[in-house]
Amino acid sequence: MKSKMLKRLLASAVMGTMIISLAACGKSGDEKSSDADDSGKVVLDVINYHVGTDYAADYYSYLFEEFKKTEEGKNVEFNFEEIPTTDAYNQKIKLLISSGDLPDIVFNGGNNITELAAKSGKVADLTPYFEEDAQWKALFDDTSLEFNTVDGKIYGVPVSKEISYIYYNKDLFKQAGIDAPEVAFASWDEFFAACDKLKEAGITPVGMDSADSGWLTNLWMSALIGTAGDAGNEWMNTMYPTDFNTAEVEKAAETIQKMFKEYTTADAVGGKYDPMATHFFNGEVAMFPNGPWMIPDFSQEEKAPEGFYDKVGIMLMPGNGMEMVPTPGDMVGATEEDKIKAAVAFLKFETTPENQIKALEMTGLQPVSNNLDIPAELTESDPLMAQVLEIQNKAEVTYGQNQAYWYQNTIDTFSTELPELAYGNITPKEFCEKLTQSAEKNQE
Amino acid sequence: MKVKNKGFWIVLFTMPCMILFAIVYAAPIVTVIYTSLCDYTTFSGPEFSGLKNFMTIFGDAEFLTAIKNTLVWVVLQSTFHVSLGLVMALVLRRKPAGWKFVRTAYMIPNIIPTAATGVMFTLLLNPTFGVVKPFLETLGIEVLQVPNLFGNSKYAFWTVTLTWMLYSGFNTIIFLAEMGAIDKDIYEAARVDGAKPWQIDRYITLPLMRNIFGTCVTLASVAMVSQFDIIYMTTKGGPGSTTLNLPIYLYKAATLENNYGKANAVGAVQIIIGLVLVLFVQYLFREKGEKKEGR
Repeated sequence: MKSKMLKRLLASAVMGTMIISLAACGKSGDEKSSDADDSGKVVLDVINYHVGTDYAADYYSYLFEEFKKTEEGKNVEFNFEEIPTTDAYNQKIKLLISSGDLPDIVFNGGNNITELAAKSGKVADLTPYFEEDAQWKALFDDTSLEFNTVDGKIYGVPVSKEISYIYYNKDLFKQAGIDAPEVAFASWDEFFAACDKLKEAGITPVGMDSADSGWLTNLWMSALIGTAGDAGNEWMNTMYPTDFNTAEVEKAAETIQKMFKEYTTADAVGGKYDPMATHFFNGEVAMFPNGPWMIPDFSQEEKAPEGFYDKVGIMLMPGNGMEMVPTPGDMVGATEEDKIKAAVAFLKFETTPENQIKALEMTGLQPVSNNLDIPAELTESDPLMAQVLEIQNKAEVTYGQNQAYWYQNTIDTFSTELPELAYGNITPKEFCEKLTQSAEKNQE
Repeated sequence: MKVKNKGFWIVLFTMPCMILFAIVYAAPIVTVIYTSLCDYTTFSGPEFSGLKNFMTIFGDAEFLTAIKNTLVWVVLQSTFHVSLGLVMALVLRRKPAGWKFVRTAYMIPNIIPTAATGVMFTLLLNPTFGVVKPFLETLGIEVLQVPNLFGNSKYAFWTVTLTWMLYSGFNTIIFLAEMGAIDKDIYEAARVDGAKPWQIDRYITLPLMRNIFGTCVTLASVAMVSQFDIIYMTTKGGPGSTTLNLPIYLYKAATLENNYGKANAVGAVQIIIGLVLVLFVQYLFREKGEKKEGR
């Protein structure tokens, strides 16, 4: 108890030294709600980043409301703090892991923070809950659960699988006289030949970025490494790599440099995801790497022009490659027994087969369970999503991506050094050396 | 009026402030200094490790860049930025046409939250849809590639610097207030003696601004030691480490490397630099004051 208090005090002091950064993180700690209010309801603190224009805002709103109508959720109330953007959310959660003031349900914002949270001892061990409910556990394959296991204990409930591939603009391909492949370009050479054709037609071939975590560029780079033979594929499926100066990674960095120089928009260097997505929606770039969660955006008129959905095609990365990783799962930060039970009940509700299908329909999130019946109507109501479900079975090579597999500071180094690589201020080898140095800091 | 037990009353009235200072600042500072000498991460409590963290950071080229950038910004802010505020105050003191409007307008950048300023500049200077391209076209300059002012390390440092360097409205207001407190008779006497406006500024106003100038320099330099939000909003210390300063380095050590011992070593260095700066500026301006008194 005493050491816990001391740790809290020290963690608070760390935060104190961060001066303005704390202010930048916004709202200070809310008053913690009591275990149960006067009416006997359990109040769960939740920090929700699925708000505003987030792709899953409607789905999570539905989920919270519907949960309260269930037997397990009828006595549960939610106390929300909203943080728009996953980047801001991830930063906040990491600070809260340090201070020990986690919300009762800890959504995973894409960054792999499971190990960080688990080793800090501030999230609940969910293994007993999986063990006592075999039916629930059977919804997840071993890979997904292992991905959320630290030192033999399950801490995260995976809610989806992450895949990504290439979206392309059919009109722009037609304009450049390119026949889009049915599944994927056979090789990167073919891919870049298509890029050259697009360029000749005055069309910017690909969407890239570098700010925040450089998400789009990360997907291109992961694909370049993951499809570079067995060695590259093994490297791109390695958790927390520390040696980036391998032939495959350096070659991929060289190609990324070329893509920045020749095939993307002027604002890609230093650019964030959103303006780059707008380029794609506006028909200003022909190819855009991303996952199925982007599909609902194609038919949202506040994001994309009317009819854009019909212009979009899907292909895998060259060489039939596809990024596929189990997702870091949602965790339980509650410490009181009734709150832990209520939070676990919510996570169970979130992962029922019905809600996995609902998530697929509303957000494009791929079901974490392998054996679900996908409704036949999906082919008509959302042909792109149906195509995603079909095309992923044709992937011959799968690999991970940096947000799931790399150290946090290395992802940041990737983002801050990309502009230097793009403008030729550092060589691909030096770029990889900086990533190596950054990853090695975690071994100090 | 003679006050009985003067010392007692001074202690009594300063006590709340001192207690608050001890809780809010002194205790965390002591903790920061102590944990900077420890191995301390998210996964483990602090364990004494001597100067290891300091050796780690001083052996890191990025940290040295962060110190260099911080000090360059301190120098620029305490010279150019403060002087600009003084020049604006000298101009506005003469109350030229529209001076009230200019005074208010010049304060606006100080009112806008710095995070919003960061977003605004990021959008304004976007090479694709920002103002850079049309501006260059208006000037008749044709460029093959529009300069990416935040994205390219050739321009990033100065671009970030210009997001705050020119907006010295806060200093202007302080100088104007100080100028308003100067006895009007002094100016009147100077005019009667035939002094020209620039001579009045040079020999009366500026010498009387010395103390407040010192205060502004102290505030400006200390603010630069803890400058965080606008850099974080625009470049996050990049490209590479072009705009990296101590607070961003500290933030990354704490949140990305989860290394609190290292972060607090940076914090300790930051505190020391801040204290040295305050003492140096005080010394600088006190020396001049003493010399004057000696004449």
